[in-house]
Formats: sequence, structure tokens, C-alpha cells
Amino acid sequence: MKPIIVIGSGHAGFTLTRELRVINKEVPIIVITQDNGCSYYKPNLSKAISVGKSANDLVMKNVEQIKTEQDVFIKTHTKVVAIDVNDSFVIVDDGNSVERILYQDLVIATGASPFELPIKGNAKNEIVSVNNLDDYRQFRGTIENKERILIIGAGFVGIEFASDMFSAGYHVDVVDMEEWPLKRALPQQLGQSIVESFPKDKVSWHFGSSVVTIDAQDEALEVTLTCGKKLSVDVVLSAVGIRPNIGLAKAANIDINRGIVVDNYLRTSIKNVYAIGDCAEISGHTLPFIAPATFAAKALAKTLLTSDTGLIIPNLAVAVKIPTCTTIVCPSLTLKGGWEVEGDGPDFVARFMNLKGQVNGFALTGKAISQKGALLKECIAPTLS
Amino acid sequence: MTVVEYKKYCCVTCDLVYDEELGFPEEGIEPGTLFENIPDDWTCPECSASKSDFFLVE
Repeated sequence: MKPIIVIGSGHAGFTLTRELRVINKEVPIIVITQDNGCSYYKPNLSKAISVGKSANDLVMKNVEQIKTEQDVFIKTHTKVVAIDVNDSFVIVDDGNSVERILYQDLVIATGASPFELPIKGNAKNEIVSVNNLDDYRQFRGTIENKERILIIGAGFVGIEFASDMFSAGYHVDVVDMEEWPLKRALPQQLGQSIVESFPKDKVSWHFGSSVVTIDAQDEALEVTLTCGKKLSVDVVLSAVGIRPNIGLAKAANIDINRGIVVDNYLRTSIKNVYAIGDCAEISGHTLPFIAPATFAAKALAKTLLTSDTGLIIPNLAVAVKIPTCTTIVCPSLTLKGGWEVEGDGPDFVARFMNLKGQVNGFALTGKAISQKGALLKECIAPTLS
Repeated sequence: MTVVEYKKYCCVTCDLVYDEELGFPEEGIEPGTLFENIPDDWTCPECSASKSDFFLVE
């Protein structure tokens, strides 16, 4: 019996294998991962420094536990070199040997990698990003005995890191091209509440700007911004977003766009090949956050082992971990429409109204987060089209 | 008088713990609410996993 092969051991990959096992105890499952195969909750990476957690502290299950619990075969530190969609096999390389493994079904769950910024300067390679547990491990070393950190990007990850790092005693500079943090998920008043909640002596904001150069200067890094400001910092962390890992799919002539193109059943353009998680693009959308990947993994497990099950994603509220200004967002999939804001700072209710006057998403700050349940009911069902 | 033995349940995705004794007041779930009495459509406040994705902490 040929196995189901899953490429990637992130949240999408391991949720899928777990759900497959719920349905069927017998079908052979192989996970191929470049990592060490432990599981961790990725959103914790941007809130663990201030509570002193090491990378090992963030591990939820190690590879042996997962192998035992799920009865799956996990090939760690192994790279998939190529996919042959005609004869249904993958070629893998674990550094010692190269082998070919046939599959019944192949699921690509390769995640996404940080954007690289077009920054110049002799220290541009000093930019770090934290996109997985190994990155986090290195980052903890990089910031040791340092004082000043520049964070590029004030989106979900950037703003959580800003919060975490100032709480850990660092001086934080934040630079973002937009005029306020989380601009795609909330309107200006709420963004302003978040900014004002951070202590002014510990966090400096540079909105409407971006980094031009990073140069080594004595022991520090001198950073020039497009607005002309010069900053002297010890560490530069990029949190400007991630790009789906589509290289393998592209090389196998599987349809790609921004992500690996899949339909509502997570099917790629090639029979028996599927994609889930951050690498997938469904009806033109790449779906960030944990929950959509969970829903996708559950639907795909049923499609693979019982009957075709389309992906249905309900409205989802995501908590942004900023202890100084509690924030919950339910981002709209459409950008057509505008915000309607109620309340007084910092306790705001903001509804994103689409062109038909329906609530398409929302954002809540401060005490208004207690209205999450009510707002979720107000939202129209999301449509992936 | 019976003494209720409260249990704890853990989210398989994010490790968040639901303690029946404490409830989740900010989610509208009063302290002392047994896990089985939480609505089935309730989701993990941290990661939006389903109620069925919580396991009993022994």
C-alpha cells in the first residue's frame, strides 16, 4: 500500500496527520521535514522573550512522542528535492543518501518564508527574522546582552514582538510604511490607541517610512530610513510578512500564483496532489493564522480518507497579544468597503462595512473585546471567492 | 452535599487550558461551568480550535 506523504511538519502538516489517524489507523503516513520534527505553537514565537522561554520550552511534543501517538513515519532533517507527478513519487535527500518514495496522495504543507527586503548597506545581512523555532533559538542568542532593537513592520508579528521586546527591557524602534500599526486589520483610531498604550520612553515609532541602508558602525548598526532619520541599534528584526514556499510545486509544473493554487477541496492542478497551510492559495486568497489551516487539514483528512469535503471557514476572531492594549481582530477578506468606529479610546468597536452595507469584519480594543461574540454573529459568512 | 471535582481540558493546538473551576468569564463562560456544558460551537479563544480538540488533562 502506497503511503500518504506530507511535506512539512508545521501546524498544517501535523494537524492533517492527526486528523487522518482519527479516521483511519492503518493507512501508511510519511511526514518529510527539513526540521527536527517537534511540534510547537508558532504564534508563541512573538511573545516568549519577555517570559524568558527558551526554544526548548516552546516545544509541545518532540518527534518521538508524535511518532508514537500518531503512528506515523517522520523523516527529519530531510529535504524533498523534487516531485514527479507523472509516476507519483518524491525524491528526498537526508544529507547522507537520496531516495525515491512512491505516494498514493501527496500533501504539500511547506509553509512560507520571510520576505527579503531590498535594503542596502554593508550590514544588510545582519537582518534577522523569526519564522520558526530554530530562528527563535538563534534570535535569543542574537539579542543577549543587547539593548536596542529595530523592528521592521508593524503587522501582527511586528507589533507583538514590539510589545514582547519592550516588556523584556529592550528599547524598541518600529518602522512601517503605513501610518499606523495593523493597518490592514483595523482603522486609524484603534491603531492610535495601540501606539499610545506603549511607553514612550521604551518604544519609538517611525510610520510612513522604511529602511534604506544598514551599516556597521563601531559595535552597533546604523540604520537610515527613507524619511532621513538615522537610528543606531544593536539588532534589526524584520517582520514584514511571509511569502508562500512554492518552489517545489513550481518545479513540478503544479499551478502556482502567489501560493500553490488549490480549489475548495485543497486540490492542486495535479491529481492526488494537495496543498494546505501558508503555502496554499484558495480562490486567490492566502489564509494567514492558525485556524484556517486547522479547518483545511480537517477537511482534507476527510477528502483523502472518506468523501470529498469542501473547506468552510467561519468568521474567526484573532487576539493580538499586546498586553498594554488588548486587541481582537476579525479581518475582512475583501478590501472594498470602509470602517465604522464606535466608542471612546481605547475602548473601540470598529466594523468593516462592505459595499452592500454588511459587516464583513471587525476590530475591538480595550474593554470592547468583551463584544467579540456579538460581533462574530453580526458578520456575514465569509466567502472564498 | 456533594463536592464537585472540577477538571481541566487542554487545547491540542495551542496548549491553552480550560479550567472548569475558573471558567472563561471574558468569553461569557461562568466559573464552575463543566466542559460538557459549554456549547459545541464554542472555539478555543486563543487559536479557534474546536471544542472537540480539547483533551482531558489527567
